[in-house]
Amino acid sequence: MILETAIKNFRRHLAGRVLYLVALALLVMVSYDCLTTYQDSFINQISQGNPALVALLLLFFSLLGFGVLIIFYANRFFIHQHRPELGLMIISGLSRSQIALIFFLETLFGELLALGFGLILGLLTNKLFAMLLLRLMGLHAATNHWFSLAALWKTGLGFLIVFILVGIFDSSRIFSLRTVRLLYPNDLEGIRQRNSWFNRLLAWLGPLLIIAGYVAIFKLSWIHFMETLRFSDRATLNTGLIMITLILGIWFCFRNTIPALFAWLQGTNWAYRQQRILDFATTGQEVQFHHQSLTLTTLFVTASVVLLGFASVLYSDGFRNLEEEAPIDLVADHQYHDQVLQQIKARGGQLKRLAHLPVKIMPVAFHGPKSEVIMSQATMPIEIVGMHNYLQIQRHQKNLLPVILDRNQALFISADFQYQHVRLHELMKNQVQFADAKLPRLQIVAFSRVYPFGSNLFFGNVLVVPDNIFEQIPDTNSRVLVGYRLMKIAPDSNFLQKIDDNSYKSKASRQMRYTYPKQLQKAKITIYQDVKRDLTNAYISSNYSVRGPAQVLLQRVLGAIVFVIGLLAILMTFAWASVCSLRELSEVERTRFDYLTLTKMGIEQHYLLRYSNWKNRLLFLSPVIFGIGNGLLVMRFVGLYLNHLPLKLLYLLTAVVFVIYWCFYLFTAYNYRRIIKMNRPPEQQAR
Amino acid sequence: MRMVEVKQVSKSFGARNNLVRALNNISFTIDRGEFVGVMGPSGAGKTTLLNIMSTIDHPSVGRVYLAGQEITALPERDLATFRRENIGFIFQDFNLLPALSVSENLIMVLSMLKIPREEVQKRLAYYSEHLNLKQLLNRYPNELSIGQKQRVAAARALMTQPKILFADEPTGSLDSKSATELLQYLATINLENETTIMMVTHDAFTASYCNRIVFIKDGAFYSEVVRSGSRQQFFNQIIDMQAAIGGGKISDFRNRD
Repeated sequence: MILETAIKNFRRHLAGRVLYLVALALLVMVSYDCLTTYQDSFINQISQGNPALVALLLLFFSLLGFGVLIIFYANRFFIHQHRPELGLMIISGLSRSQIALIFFLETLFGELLALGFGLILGLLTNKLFAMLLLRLMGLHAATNHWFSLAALWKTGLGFLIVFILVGIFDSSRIFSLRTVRLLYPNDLEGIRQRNSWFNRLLAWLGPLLIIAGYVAIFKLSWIHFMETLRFSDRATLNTGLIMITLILGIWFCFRNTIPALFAWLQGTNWAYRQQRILDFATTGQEVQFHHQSLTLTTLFVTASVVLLGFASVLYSDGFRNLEEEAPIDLVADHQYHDQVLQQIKARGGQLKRLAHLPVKIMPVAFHGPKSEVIMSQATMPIEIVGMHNYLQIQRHQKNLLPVILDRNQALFISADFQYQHVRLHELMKNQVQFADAKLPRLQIVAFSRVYPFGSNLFFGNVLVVPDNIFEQIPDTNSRVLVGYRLMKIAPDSNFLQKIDDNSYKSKASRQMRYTYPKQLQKAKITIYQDVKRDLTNAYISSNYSVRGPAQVLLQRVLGAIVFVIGLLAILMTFAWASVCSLRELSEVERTRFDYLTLTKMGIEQHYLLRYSNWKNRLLFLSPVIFGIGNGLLVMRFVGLYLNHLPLKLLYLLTAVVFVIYWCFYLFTAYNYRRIIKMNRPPEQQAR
Repeated sequence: MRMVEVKQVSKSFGARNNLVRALNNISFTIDRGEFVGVMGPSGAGKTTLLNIMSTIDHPSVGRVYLAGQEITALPERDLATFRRENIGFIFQDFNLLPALSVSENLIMVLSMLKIPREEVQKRLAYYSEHLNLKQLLNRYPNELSIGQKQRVAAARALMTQPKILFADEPTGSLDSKSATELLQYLATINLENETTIMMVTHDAFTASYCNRIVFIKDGAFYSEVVRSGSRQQFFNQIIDMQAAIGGGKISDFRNRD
């Protein structure tokens, strides 16, 4: 009878739980895909045992942990939904263990269904999952691997442990339920807020803490925590402080501020003149009753938006940085030219010459708004290239800014400018004065952060000038860089790794000493090398560079991390939205009696449904909008700090998060109305 | 034989600064085979008293004995067995398990007791016959009328052949015909099977089917009325007592009988 009751309960609630089970199946699907891909020998072989694949293992365990949270919370609503039935079973003489077993079996059937369905989906989507990952990691290979017995049983076992673990939590909860509360529920009466001074204090404290959190985001230094992750570090402590302030603020807002505000609204005369405002105001107690899940929803949405933000930053910015650092396979200065070329040819590699770039160097001074900020001092050294050579390289390096310069115009290339908080139009008002007085002043007309042949080969800032100006600049300390395309050598080979490592060694580095920086005419540049690296010297560059294993590794790590973070954020959104839906549907049984009573009192159905729509919309979407606002604010701050954050991609992904929640809201609102109508007693059914 | 003994029971709700005392040092007894009603004005503590006596709630102070067993000292695991073997309960709002059919609702507890299948079928046949449920056995609760649901709830409470049956406003949601039928049936099983019944009601007509009424007011014992003559006389006595406490009209009886 226990089994039969559990099966019947499961079948009865299946329709309302479909989306939750689908969300659970998606968690299982991605978990299986993670394990299969992680264990796939082919992928491990072509990615050279890339440590980034460990991120898949982390995602697997994160999904198991998230699964515990989701199922735990969903079952909490199921128990809430079942309260009268549980009370009846207790009073009928069933022991708590028998009731816990019925409930466990009922939820287990759904979970096993989701597990089975998720594993089948995992088998079907595994190839797509692996191909997406490989593409993001920059690996162009096809894999047909889709079945892994080890991954199947490990995923199954992992989720079974999760189901049993949550079942134990649920049982302990069922054992602690008070019979009288189950049979005579008085939730809202129980939590009705007393108008004590403490509650009023908390009502004010909520928004104050949120404002303090926002101010702290902009005023305190916290973003460096990502680099240190040390508790002793100030930035990490600040990050913790901001998070605690925001969490407490959100919690108090839902628990105290909004109910108090709505209670005040209900007491005003003008709210009674505006029916919609009154409908809105009467949901205050519901907000207080669900304050925990509303707070969690806000936090999850914030976390999803921030995770998607970081994924989009890594995707757009990380890959771009990588491309800017080593855009061409091999670049060599004339000093190392023959040596490197011989090494490569000796290993069977072939080289195709692409372009050459003569580079000169001279002290300059900027004149115009914020010129000293741009130079970081009164004058600065700058490396100069001619426009003709720049355009030659642009044929092979597509991310170079295309410019045509007139006489007396120049393109300024700098990786540091974006961190100086100087606006672009201020830079464009600056003119460049060379140390050689015969040369004319040039007007800055364009800015780029992309260096020809890559930033490693230059000391700092670069100026692209018209060819006639370039020819007039003295050849002192000049050099010529030559770019090649590499063939017949794997980009991630150990041989290239060795060349790459050697290019960073002290003796291979080019160093510059810059003196008398305050007077342009007296400024002096000394280039030296073949000595131990001078750690006090800020001006260091490479003499040659190779796009080798370091870039490949970084690209693959970035790809894997973007994939894992993005997937986690979307899954988190989908799964938590399904739990929000369950929360609303678990309430419908409690509220339908109120609806019936109001209908009997002569209130028209469409007014009642309008109120239910208001309530669902408020409870479902307000924490989502709140969370999106928080997430965008945090990412906006990160954007200001980075100055080049691809916010458009983030806005698009945020819209995806909102659309997912909106779809779940529509599903919930539809089912809510359907259940209210379906449960009408026979005498009230439409004839 | 004493079936129920309530000894100096008090029950308080709320915190220190808004304490509500629902029951205040109440004591009384019920003998085997009695049909006792509990009446009193709204907020007198009738349902609280019933909840404590039927093991749904615990008293703040005091003891309750059912069938010679002190239920207020029983641990939860023993309470489950005690409920199965001794107590039946009829609620005002039926409380049937919506996923189970009528017959499944009726036999669920018996199946947990591991009673032989033949015995279960025998009882099912007996109670479905007596409560006119034979045509409804395969239906689900949402397919039943209010009166039918209450008859199923009564049958379910009686299937375990409890020593004491608690009823909380059992006719509260029923029309007068269904209410009369149910009350007549309760009176019958009280007489035939010597099942002790304790019923909470605020309705004098319903209470007139009992043979003793305990009146409580403000959580304390107020008075009691024992039936000695006809049901009409007993009803008048109840009305008089209700008037003394506050409420009730003689026309209630005339309109409904």
